[in-house]
Amino acid sequence: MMKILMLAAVLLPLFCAPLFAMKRFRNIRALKALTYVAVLATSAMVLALCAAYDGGMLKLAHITSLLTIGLNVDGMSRVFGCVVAILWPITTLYAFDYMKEDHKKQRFFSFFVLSYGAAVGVAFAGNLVTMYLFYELLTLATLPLVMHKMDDRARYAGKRYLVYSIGGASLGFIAVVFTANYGGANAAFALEGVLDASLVAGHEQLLRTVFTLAFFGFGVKAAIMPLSGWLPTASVAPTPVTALLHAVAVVKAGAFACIRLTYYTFGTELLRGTFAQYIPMAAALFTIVYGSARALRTNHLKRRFAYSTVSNLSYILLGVTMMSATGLMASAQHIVSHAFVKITLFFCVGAVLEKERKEYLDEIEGIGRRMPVTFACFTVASLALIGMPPLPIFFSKWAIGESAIELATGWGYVSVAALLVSTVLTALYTLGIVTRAFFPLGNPQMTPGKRTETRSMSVAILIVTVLMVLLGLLSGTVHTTLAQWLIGGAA
Amino acid sequence: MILLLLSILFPLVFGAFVIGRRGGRVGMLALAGGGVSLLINLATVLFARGGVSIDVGTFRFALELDSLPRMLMALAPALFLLTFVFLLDTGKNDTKRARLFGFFFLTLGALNAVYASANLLTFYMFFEIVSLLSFPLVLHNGTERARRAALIYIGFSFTGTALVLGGMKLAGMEAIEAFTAGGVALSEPHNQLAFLLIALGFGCKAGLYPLSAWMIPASNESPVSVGALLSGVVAVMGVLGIVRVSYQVFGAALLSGGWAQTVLISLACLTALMGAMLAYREPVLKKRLAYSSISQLACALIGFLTFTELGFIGGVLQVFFHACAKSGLFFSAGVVQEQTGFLRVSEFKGVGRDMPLTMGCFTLLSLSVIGLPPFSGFAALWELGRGALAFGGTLGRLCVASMLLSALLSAGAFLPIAADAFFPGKDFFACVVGPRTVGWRAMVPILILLAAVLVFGVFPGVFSGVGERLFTTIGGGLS
Repeated sequence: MMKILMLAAVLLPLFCAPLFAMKRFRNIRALKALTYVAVLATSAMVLALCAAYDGGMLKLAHITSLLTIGLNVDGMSRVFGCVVAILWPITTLYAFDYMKEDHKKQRFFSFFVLSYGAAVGVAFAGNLVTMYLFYELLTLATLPLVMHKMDDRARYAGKRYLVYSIGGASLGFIAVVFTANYGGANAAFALEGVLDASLVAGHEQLLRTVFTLAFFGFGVKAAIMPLSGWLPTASVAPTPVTALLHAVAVVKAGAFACIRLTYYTFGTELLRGTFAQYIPMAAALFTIVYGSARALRTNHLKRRFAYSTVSNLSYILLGVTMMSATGLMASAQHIVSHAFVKITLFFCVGAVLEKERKEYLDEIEGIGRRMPVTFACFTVASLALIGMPPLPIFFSKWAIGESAIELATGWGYVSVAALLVSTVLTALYTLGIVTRAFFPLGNPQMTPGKRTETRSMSVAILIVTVLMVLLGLLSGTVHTTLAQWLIGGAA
Repeated sequence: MILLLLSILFPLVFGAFVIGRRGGRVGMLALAGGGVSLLINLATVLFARGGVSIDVGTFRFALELDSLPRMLMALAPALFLLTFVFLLDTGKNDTKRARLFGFFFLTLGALNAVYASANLLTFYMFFEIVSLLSFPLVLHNGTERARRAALIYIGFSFTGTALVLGGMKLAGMEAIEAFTAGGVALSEPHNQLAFLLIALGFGCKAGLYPLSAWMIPASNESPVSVGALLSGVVAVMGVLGIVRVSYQVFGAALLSGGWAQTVLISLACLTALMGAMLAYREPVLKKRLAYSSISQLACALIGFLTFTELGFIGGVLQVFFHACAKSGLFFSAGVVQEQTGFLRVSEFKGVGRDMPLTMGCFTLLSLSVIGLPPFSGFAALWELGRGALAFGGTLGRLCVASMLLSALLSAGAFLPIAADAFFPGKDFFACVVGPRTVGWRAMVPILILLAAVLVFGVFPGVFSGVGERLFTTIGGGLS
């Protein structure tokens, strides 16, 4: 029963999507209804599975003796699955308001639902091959969303996205081939890795090299330097896409894939203390600081937060490269907390873009009076992003820092320093916006005070903000749940 | 407990209420609110028992008033109230007064929470919140320069808090759980480094050298009332942070004689000297006052960091008297600025003839800053010097030397202003000040502060008694 439900959760959105494309909708209502049904049903199934699945691997197909397609729900699936399942419906609410005047809604929502299916597939993939498959599908499904506007900039962004992603995935493919030959592509993900120790013996360096390449390959989606160029360009996409896909689903799928690769495929035993740990870690450290610094230098609001995402994704990757149980926990926690915070920020920036047509930092002087709810939420989310307790990112950042200090080497201390530098930069690039919004130069009475927010957008923003604050206050529960899911409650 | 929460929540709610107000009555409203707030705080100091705590996972957020910040808890709202009195007759053309008052109250609420924080984590959180809520105060003038000053302010603030965060991570979970007299028994291997980071981080607010640069533009580009607040309350909060971590987290037993202590004391000496030197050659009065604050608070820090009883008492005196004298000086400068528009020291020639009361107060208050008897600054400096000598060694003597030198430089910074104001010289005969436009109410807080500085300078026993008791309670058996 549970296995069927799991299959349904992946397939429902995948099958709904072509339906959207084929059927001609008379009015927006039917489209809206169908989208909500598809999204909510999928979310309900995913959440139910995350709560109660205990069935083990569901094998779908044997392609060759080395390649099996299979689904499973394990601890890490639950983390990613829950985040996606909670945020997708809220983004749908926001997206319908945002896309109100768009003519290509049908196409948009078709691919929007399709990418949901792909994201759930990535989460529930039971082994590396299956994950690779859904991972590629996710790239392809989201490409039309990036190019949605179909003007030159959008198409350029789409092309760039495609080149980076496919290139990255091909590096990932090397890892798939090698794990297949060293005993693991078939095997279900397991926390200590799936490689056969007897086959590995003697080829450690080779496998570490393969791992490093594949880490950067999957790291493309997680925007690790020097492969992060696509993400800021892709911010030409409609904001729901930027918010959900480029702050949560797609980029977190990249981080998720890196976790799968590191902890569940190669295993940390093989990698710890070698170049395969330190090269990715160095890249992540550099990206953390670079992303924040670029964010501060960028005046385009959406691009600013795209760079901020680049930086924050590398927090997750930094946690991954700690190659310890606490590192895994910390990165999972940051996946969750950053998802909620960043989606809030993007929703706010998107509201500014859609309702006021303002894109740049110096255009938003005094906008806080016209969009009070939006910018109140924006301020809270900014504080969260900086890492103010008791908001969620404080706890996940603390966890990352703690696992770094556990390393007890120079790398650990450099990591903490990088986190702190990035914190300062974060404060500057978020509060610079808050300052302009609420404290315009000159006399504030002069600026018009007419409200430009709309209800459903504000509601979506409020929901994610409240969820974010709750997540922070409940972070004790979150932490124990994660520990139970990921490392069997030991922590 | 209810009183404690009330002391935090009342200013926050009242502030939020005031921000939304329009019209001219807001000054009186703020005065009333400030009075209520002062009463609540005094009641809290006298009667508050117990506290609250919330656990978020393994992290504990807790509020409970212990003995250390009680004096500050009474002092802060009093200074705010005096600020509100001062604002009744100055800056009336400001159309954004409601916002100014509102954020004053919000800052006060957050400050009370800082004082009442019962562990380092909570302290850190509210410390950040105070930075954020005082940020609009620095921004207040709404000019490009004010905005830059505010961003510098916030940048330095967050650099400071980032250092604190790094130190807390290094020190481990035991360090952030509770403030304990004599310090917590810490198990981590990097205690000295952790302490140094945290102290530097809090030192950012207190104007300790490498991170003190924010104070100058922030004091200069904001209204004088804000400058007074930054020097008298916000910077003092940084000192409180350092005292908290050194006495109640790491503990004197661990730190005494360690390299972190040496580094910090040397930095404080350097800051005291540099602040005074820069004040001496600074042409703009408000900046000069800000530099002098940096130097003064560094002297207080030296006292606290020596871990001697005399040093501690001297530190307490210095913090208290500095807050009073410097606020008074900022207010006097504000009155002159309001009346004449003069900002630079060189413009003050002859002002004393037309504004004898203001400049008189200015002169007397600056005598306290310099540290001349019978003003209170002398008592503080005396105890600080004795503390440094009790600390002993080359470093102790260096401390004494730097304190004396900075006092000398302060004399050089402030006495010529007074001299020029009253004795402009033979070739000066123009009347510079028009008919008086600043109301008498602006003089009230200056006179009160002057009286405080004088009375407590003659009878410093009250505060040295408090300092002595504090040292025995939080020092945890130091002698």
